Amino acid sequence: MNSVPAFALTGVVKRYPGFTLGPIDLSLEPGTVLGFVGPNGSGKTTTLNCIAGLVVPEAGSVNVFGRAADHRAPTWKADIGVVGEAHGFYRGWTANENLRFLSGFYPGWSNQRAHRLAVRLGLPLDKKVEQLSKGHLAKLAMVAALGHGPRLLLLDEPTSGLDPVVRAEVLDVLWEVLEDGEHAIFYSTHVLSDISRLADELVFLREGSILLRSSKDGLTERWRRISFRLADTDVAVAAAVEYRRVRAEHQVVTDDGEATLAHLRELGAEAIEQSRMTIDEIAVAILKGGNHVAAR
Amino acid sequence: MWRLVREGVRFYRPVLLISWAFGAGIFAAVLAIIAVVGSAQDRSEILKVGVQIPLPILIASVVAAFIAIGTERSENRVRMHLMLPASIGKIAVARVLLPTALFLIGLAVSHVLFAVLLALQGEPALSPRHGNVDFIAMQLLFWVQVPLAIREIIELRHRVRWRGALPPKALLVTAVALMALIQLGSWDSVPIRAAGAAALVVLVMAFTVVLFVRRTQFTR
Repeated sequence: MNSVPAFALTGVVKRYPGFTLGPIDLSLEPGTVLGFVGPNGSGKTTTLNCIAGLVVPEAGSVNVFGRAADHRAPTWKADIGVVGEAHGFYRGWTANENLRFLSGFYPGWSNQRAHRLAVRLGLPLDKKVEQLSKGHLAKLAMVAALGHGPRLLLLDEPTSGLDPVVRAEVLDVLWEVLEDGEHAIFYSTHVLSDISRLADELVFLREGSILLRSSKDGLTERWRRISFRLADTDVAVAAAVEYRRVRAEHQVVTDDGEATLAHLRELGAEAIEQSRMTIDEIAVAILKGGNHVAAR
Repeated sequence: MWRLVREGVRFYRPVLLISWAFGAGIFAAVLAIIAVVGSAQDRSEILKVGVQIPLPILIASVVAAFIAIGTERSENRVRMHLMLPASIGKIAVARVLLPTALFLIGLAVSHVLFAVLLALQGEPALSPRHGNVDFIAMQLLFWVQVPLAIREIIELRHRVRWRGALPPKALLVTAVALMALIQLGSWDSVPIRAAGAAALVVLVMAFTVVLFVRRTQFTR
């Protein structure tokens, strides 16, 4: 098994006026999908750009498959594919001409793979890029990123602004890419429904700092919404992230359902009801909870 | 690097051809007007004016080069190129070479047309007057490269204080002043002046490449 991480960020810091990313320590193992979740302006794109080499951090190091992400020795770039909203395609050329351009730079480029993907996605290769719809542009970006068979795929909101049908097609292709178990995907988004199917792990980012990293299954297993009745007006409930009281009924969101339930039984709570939370709901609670969650 | 330049030239070839067509068309229209309403109605007089054809071709090439610079920026090409497994130095050089290549193709065409028209006039096709074309071309190429250098200084200002950006600014202003000196100076030798202008072009290109390689942000 390959023990070299697909990427490793160590103490990465990037400063902008009014915003600082990091220090960020983050790595991704081959064969896994990491969802990178955070609100707009939290630093998701900056982090992804640091890995892709589009932003040079002021401190820390970036390694891709064990090689420093150094622009002077660019072989590491052959291992990554990037999909973002900005693409840089030649708008006056057809999709096919753009793919032909890219194929000349990558030793591992496979026209067969690119064309198969294009057909699979219904991408009109003979249309000029300037005539492509937003959905087709996203598909072209996906084909361009996968044409050279990268081992690491960096996705920056690849389905942003796409209709549900195109979004489903793109996600299906990613799912197929994952089938061989060798690809690593770093998926930055604020739309949790996109990655709830794909991601093995989720990292939550807010205001440039990582709040929490957890497996997706672990989150859905632990996080609960619990309601109960208790005569006391003010209750400090174990592991509660959110707390609300309506007369005698108390509601909590907890990041450790079992610990909360045990504590409530100790307190003598009655009419305890619990429900599982969706990844979307958990993400909102985490990002709202901020440091409270991060401190756990 | 050469592949990037070659593909860029291929992409902008229609722009270059259309620019030349416009430049030559306007020039031909002017010649026709002179022939019809002006005093120079015999063939030799028209040919005398006609040998100025390199100028509209060079200016049309400048227009094509500026279109290329603007389009590369608006289409966010740097982002695409930086994703390729090519070193940043090669990408930086290709970036300044693309408009240069478009312009130099125009210069070559200018020389050919100039030679043909000189021959039609009965002068040697390889007349020393070709040096004038080179001198004019190097001055124009200098002004094609200056906006790229200014763009890098603007990028530099995003990451350093104003004092940090002073030396590059001073260097660029010095290059512009030197170009003015070459243009207005009293040297007789056109080849030396053309060589001086070409040296300044190379200096500005190197300046742009160095600043680009030192960038810490390649996307906005």
